Amino acid sequence: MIKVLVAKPGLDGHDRGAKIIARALRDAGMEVIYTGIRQTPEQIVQTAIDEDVDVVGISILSGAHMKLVPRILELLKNNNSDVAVFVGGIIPEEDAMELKKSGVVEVYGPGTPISEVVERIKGYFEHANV
Amino acid sequence: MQMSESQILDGIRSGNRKYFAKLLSICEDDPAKANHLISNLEKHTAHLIGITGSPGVGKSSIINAILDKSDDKRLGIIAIDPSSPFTGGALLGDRIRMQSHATSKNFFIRSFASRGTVGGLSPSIFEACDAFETFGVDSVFIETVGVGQSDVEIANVADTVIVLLSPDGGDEIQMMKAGLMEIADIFVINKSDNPLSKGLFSKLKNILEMSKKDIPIFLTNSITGDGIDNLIKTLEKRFSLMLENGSLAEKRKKRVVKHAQAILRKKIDRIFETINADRLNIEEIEKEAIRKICNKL
Amino acid sequence: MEISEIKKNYEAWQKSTEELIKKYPETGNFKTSWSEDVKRLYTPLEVQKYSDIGFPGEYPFTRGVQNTMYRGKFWTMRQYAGFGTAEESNKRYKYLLEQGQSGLSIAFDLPTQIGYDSDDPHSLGEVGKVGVAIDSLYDMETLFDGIPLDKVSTSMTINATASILLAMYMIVGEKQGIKWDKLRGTIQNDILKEYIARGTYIYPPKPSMRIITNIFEFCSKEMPLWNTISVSGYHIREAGANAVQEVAFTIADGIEYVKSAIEAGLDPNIFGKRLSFFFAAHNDLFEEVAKFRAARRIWAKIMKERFKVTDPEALKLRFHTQTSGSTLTAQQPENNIVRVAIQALAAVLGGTQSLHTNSMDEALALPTEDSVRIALRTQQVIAYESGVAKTVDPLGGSYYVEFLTDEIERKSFDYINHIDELGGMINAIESGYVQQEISNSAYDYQRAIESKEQIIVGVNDFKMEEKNLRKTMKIDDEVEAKQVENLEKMKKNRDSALVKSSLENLEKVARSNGNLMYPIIDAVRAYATVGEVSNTLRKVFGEYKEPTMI
Ligand SMILES: Nc1nc2c(ncn2[C@@H]2O[C@H](COP(=O)(O)OP(=O)(O)O)[C@@H](O)[C@H]2O)c(=O)[nH]1
Ligand SMILES: [Mg+2]
Repeated sequence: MIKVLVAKPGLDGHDRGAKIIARALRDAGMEVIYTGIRQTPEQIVQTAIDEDVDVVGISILSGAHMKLVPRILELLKNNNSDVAVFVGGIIPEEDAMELKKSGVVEVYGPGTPISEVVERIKGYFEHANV
Repeated sequence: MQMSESQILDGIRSGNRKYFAKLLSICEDDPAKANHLISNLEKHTAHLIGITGSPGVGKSSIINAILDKSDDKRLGIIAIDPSSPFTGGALLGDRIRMQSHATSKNFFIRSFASRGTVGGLSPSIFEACDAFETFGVDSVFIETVGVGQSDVEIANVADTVIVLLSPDGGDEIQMMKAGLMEIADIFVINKSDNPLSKGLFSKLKNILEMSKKDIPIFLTNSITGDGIDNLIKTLEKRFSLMLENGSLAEKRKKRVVKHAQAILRKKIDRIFETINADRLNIEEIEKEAIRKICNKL
Repeated sequence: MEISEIKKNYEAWQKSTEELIKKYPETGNFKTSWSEDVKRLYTPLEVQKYSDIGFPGEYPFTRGVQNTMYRGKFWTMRQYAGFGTAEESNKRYKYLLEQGQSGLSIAFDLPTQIGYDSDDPHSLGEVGKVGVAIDSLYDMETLFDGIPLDKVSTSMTINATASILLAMYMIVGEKQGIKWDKLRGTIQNDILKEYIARGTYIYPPKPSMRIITNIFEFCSKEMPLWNTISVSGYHIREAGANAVQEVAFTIADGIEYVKSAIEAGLDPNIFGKRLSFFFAAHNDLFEEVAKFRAARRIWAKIMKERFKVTDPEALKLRFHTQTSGSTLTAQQPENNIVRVAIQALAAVLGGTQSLHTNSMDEALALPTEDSVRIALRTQQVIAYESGVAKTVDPLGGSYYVEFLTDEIERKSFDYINHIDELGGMINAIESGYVQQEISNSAYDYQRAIESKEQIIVGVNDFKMEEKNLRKTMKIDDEVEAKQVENLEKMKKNRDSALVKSSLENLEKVARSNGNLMYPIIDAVRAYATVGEVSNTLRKVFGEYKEPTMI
């Protein structure tokens, strides 16, 4: 059973994408926790730890990704967590590269088919289990 | 992350949440191993409080309201949501209401999926409660799925069952007659800001009086916290009384039996899954099952 | 031709067409945004009640709210922008006013919208981002420094904290020696759509509605020129609703506001004239045109039948339109110019009163000057070259458009009636019903894209290799630091005893049922901050938590 946290940091209320992805992951047989909007990095990371999730999916559209995602990664690291982090949102190429370098598994831009995201997450764990 | 048993045990003993979170996962994935680990840890008796009631009455909200007023306590929360019978997937959504407490050091909120069990609980509910008792919490709140009548299982798990009602949820009284009345130790009418709540209060009071049941009823507003202090006080009093007069010990004895029954039931269920019914009738299936069970046990 | 004859001919035509289809099958996505099958052909058979169409400027206003529409005056081409500190915005406003503009449009940053001060942990990284940061009256004074408030009309996109920002505006006016009843402008103030779609709520719906009602009541007495609400479907649509849901939920919100205005003792004949609406324009041209026409008709009927309004001016649904940001693609962004043009055309054919056209590169980063100009030029081409503004409601009488108009009306009333059964929009929101309906539509739409039932040019078809054009947005931390510094300074200089007592009084009134505007005005005048006022009310009202619908 794959357990996923879909997290929405920042103050903006644009949760359409986060909700669609949460639903698609649930329909693909995963157990999904959706945090709701306006989450701080601290809340997201503590939730990921307490819920012992396998994946954190961060949906971020506010443009503050280079501030918030590194903070989340740092907090995860402080907790020695090896949870897989995926990011979705309006992320420029160079930022995406930098985020991947610092440990994000994948960065998805607008227009990515949801099925691709679902398959990638499933695939990630099939590999990990071998 | 791979962790050895001793790592987990040491981690929990030192109060590290990450290891405790792992123990809860083991409860879900491998209850036998969980029971083994738990038996190696020191347990402190906690007040196990079940909260049941239809979807939308405010179960998650009232737990949040209780957390708002419990800075000085260590509390565990087990929030259960239904799994899809078709895909196995689940949306664990109760937590969203308590999310402002996510970073609190004294509270530990954990979401569970029902994973095919009926009765509004999780298949690993007994283990999960036991696990919380190794983590030094004062109380554990268990939020059931809340599909109504079938949620009576909680009475076998919790020391105290709160049945939550709200004035905007259909014909609550009707539902009450169908089983929840029997398991309630405390009634709470939530959404006291709704003017209809007073009516529901007196209706319920009448019914209880008529059936000669002495069960307290509270009115709460889980958004503003009105009425929550009283509820908390009552829960505390009830627990110390149960400790004193031995009724808790009695309950816990019965609970162990129920726990064992649950474990056995799961094993039997698994055996039934292996029976090929192609050419067998009911009687033969039964015999086959008994044979297999005797072999296994 | 008699209907019976049309019917006969139609059936014959259908038959021969079915024969043809065997050889040349039809292929494509023939569905409305609410997943209803679109027929091959529409005829008078589908539209038998032309009586509801009426005439422009007359009940039920299907064809428009004015008799002459754009022959008298084009729609208002309203392009808005703005962010940063109060100082920067002030300079920009002065420039715009010098250029002859008489209306100011103000966007606030998210902390201001949600009632957090700039030094609140929640505000980290958000200060001055999507609009100007306002912590206290001090910032508002800076924002309008040297701008005579009796000479301008100010539109503020503000909802949960509208009462506070309005109070600040009034005091700035007061200090300029201008009476409150001379101030002109609008606050968005539509909290219900925040729960449904946009997310900048603070308190639960009931106390929020009380604040709004207090504003209505206060303004009717003290600020008669002020427009107290703009009921917005735009964000509902952008969150994934279909066209019917956009109309139905927006109008259901409108009903709730009129109800509370009436409860507060206001006359809907007067209040109705102070109401305006705000819709989105999407790509499906005919459907969108029908949507605007249906919305006007539904609203007129509701105001007349449900609220017994008699003044025709108070029956008219007037609306602003913005083209849809969510339909713009990051891939092949030039294509967005075409999308915006179609959407803008729909708004004009639908009879909008004002229009904002999006810039093609919005899906990538902040728009460039060039793209902002093209967006405006798009409106001008439609106005001056396309000829669609020559006559009123040019699509009126089209079988298809009239059918869709009827259909959207019928389906919207189904929703509105269901919401009534649930006990009104507030209950429907609290139970998550509305959010779930929208979320279902958003999910279905996404699935249609993935299965290629719905083609998005450049995204799931007609793709090409292209560079990732998304640009890095520079996060300007200076704004935040400066804002926090100013806030600290301001707090040292104010009379803290007065702040304290005014907030205590606010709390007392909040716990009773007095009008909150008066104690908010006092608190703001004492330089209490947006965060302090909001936190005082949070203490009394609690905070809203979204239902767990996905
Ligand atoms: N007005 C009011 N609404 C409440 C109260 N408690 C909960 N709610 C609302 O009821 C809805 C369902 O609450 P939730 O806690 O998720 O219910 P659950 O399904 O039983 O866990 C939410 O919209 C809450 O905000 C209350 O005391 N008063
Ligand atoms: Mg719940």
